[in-house]
Amino acid sequence: MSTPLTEAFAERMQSVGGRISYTTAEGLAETLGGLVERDRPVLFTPELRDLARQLRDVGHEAYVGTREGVAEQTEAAFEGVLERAGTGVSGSLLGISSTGSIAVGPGGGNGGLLIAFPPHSVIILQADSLRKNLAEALPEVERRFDELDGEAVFVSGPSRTADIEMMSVVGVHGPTGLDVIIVEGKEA
Amino acid sequence: MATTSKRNLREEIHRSLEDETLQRAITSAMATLFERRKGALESIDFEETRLEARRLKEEALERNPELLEQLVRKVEGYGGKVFLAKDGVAARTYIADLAVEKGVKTVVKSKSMVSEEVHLNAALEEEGIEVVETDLGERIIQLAHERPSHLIVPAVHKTKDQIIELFARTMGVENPPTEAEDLTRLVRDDLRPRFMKADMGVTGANFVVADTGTLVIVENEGNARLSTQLPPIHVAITGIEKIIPSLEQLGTFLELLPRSGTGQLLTAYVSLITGEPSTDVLDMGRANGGQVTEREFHLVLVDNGRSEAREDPELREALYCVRCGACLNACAPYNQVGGHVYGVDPYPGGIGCAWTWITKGPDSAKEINGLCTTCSRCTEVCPSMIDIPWLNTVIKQRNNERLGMKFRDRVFARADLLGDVSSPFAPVVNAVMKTPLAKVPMGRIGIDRTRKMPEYARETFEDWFQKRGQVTVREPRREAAMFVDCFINHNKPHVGEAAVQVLERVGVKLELAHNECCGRPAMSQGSLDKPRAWAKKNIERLYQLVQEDKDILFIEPSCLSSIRDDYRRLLENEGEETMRKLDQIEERSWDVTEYFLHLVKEERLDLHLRPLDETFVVHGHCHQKSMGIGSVPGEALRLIPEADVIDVNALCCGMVGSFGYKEEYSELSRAIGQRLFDKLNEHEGTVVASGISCQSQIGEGTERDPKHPMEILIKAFA
Repeated sequence: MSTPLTEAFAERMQSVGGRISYTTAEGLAETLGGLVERDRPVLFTPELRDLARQLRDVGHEAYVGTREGVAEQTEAAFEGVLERAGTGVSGSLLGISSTGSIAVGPGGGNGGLLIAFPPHSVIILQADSLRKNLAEALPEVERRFDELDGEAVFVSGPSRTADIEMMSVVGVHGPTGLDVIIVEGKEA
Repeated sequence: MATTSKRNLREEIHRSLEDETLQRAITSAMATLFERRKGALESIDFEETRLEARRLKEEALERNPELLEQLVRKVEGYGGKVFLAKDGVAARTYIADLAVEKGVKTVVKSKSMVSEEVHLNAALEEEGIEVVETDLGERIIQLAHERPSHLIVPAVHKTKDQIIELFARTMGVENPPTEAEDLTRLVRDDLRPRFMKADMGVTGANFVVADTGTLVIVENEGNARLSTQLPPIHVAITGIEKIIPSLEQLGTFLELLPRSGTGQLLTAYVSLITGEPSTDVLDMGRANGGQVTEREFHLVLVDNGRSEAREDPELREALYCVRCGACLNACAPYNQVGGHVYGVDPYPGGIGCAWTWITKGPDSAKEINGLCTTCSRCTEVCPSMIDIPWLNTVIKQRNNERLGMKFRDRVFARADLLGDVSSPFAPVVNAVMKTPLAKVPMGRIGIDRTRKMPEYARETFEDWFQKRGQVTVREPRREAAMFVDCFINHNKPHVGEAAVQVLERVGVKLELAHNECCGRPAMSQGSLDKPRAWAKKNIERLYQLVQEDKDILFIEPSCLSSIRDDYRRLLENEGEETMRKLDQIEERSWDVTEYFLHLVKEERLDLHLRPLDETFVVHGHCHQKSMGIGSVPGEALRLIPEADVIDVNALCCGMVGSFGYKEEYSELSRAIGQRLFDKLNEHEGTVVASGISCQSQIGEGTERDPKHPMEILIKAFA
């Protein structure tokens, strides 16, 4: 059930090395399970606590990616889990179709870290939160700025550099892989 | 701050031109950046967007003191600390003291030009603190103990092979990988533990939002993300000019900055950060001996000459720079020698010269000031529409005033006088100028003796025009006046004659404008008083012509560009009446070829041109390009049946008025020219160039005889 907005978004995101999956709210856990490495921890922003539990239920080492979240489940230090983590999973505020970007909020604390630190980043985007362009998206972020504690990151693809002879290399300090899961509503 | 050692720029230029590795590195990178930018701009209306950006920058700077106060209140309100650093020493001392006080052992830094400006790393290292640049390019130059040579690609001057060798030497890797991807991975793996254990992260900021106290950081690598999220203390250091009123303005800047800089629609990460991050503090720093357990946010706002520049009506616009580097990629001298030669630590290029004046003072700026050829290609691409050539002209003038003007430059400034004196004795002058006798004093005053000086014609264009008396143009379509420029008049009158004949064929009744020199030869030597006086006279004279319903036609694009672009700045203080006249003059002013083409199109003229079975290889004049009429010569020639017209795409011919004649720049001028010559020489046929100094340079470099489009067109009319 793709729309011109999701199609344009996907095309842009893919052109800079992001991968796109489509799913529904019901299929989310399964889709996610297919994307993450089995033998490394998966860290979630707190609003995705349920999703973390669903992954744990099928055998993944999955945590809410905060000091408390990790402490609730294991003796291991938060730092250690973070360093071992294969994937960081984060929700999002909205997507921008024309630039292929996603705005991510503070994610209950460590959101900003979870999209940048683990080698693999997954961001979940609700299809109906897609906006046409920056001009439509920015005022919305601005309106919600207080509730976001003034923290937002526009992510457009995995981290990259061209500092050696202008050759594009994906995955410098941030993730090498970025998966965007677009969650679509039921067919109308 | 005075410079400690005087640079030998001529030697530096020579060395960089001989350095094949450097040449290879810069050439390919610049071309890539230039093309990527062009592609990215297709999705927006660049002119409209940058007009808006310029307006926003002007407004923000106008309100700067008030916005600064608001920002301080806001940041302090949420518990951040703000330090206003009046200069570089204050800024680096504050941060170094803070690091010492907090027991910081390791600082990770993401890219910040301001931190380079204030020499922050040295100050921290003096305290025994490990400073780690984390941007890949910055890390490369940190390991090499160099300074950035480009605003956004700091290690652009290095090839991959040099980087491999550097990593082997400095990172203790015996057999470093050879692919860019693996080299990047090597740095990632080396820096990860340092990120983890760092107690302090230092970043810059591309924008700072006053009414929310928010930093905006635009980046691709994710190192700014990690530098702000992992260490307990985040210090942001930036210039006071980066403050914008609210998030509302951000959209316009974000449309332009990534597109202009890297040719991206948006960079991988654009972070909006307000205060200390909510991220959990890691224990790694403390394990390393750091004592920080709480999060802290410090904002260091650096003045360092910016307030003074803000009060300076001529230099003020340098403060609109968003550091995208597009101007460097478009700059012919930069493309040849790179930012280590064309730059003063840390700011490269023509914009860097202005920033050097602002942050380091006149003496430092003087050294690279002459490298700006005022071709205006930078202004064409600048997202803030900064008139970089004018900034450099003003700096040249101020340094002339402070230190006196070279005799040679005084001579070059008076193209009008030279012509007046030489024309009557043309054969003698031409003969003498070719003798060794003349070459000696030329060399002595700093003119490259191997250059051929332009020859003078005995009969000037003006004399020719007057002598032929009244010419009847039957049923004239338009009336126009020819702006007589010094070089056409004295050196190349036949080009003027061709132009007159072509225009009369299409029904233009012509007269002479009886103008003064446009002033460009003097302005490009940094002499502004005479041009100002001439400009005033020219405006009165040209305005009178406009009142008489006449158009004004220019053969030399540089003269037209003076009137369109420079008079406004030259006469800034003359008041609205002058500006109004200038508006009307501009509306009626045309490049001759542009005018011809316009008439043909508008009047749907059937020219019945004679077919010319020839190839024309066209070089576009820099000022034609900067005025948006770069395609005009080629288009005009394509009207000729059977003519094969090839537009050659090069940055600049490299002569640029007197630039190529100056001994310190002539080697550079020839190197710039060589790129054009090579392209021209790929094709047989007649070379076409609209500029007089372009013609001299191409003539010398290719041993071909370039023609003005009007000289070709008149052949097709015969």
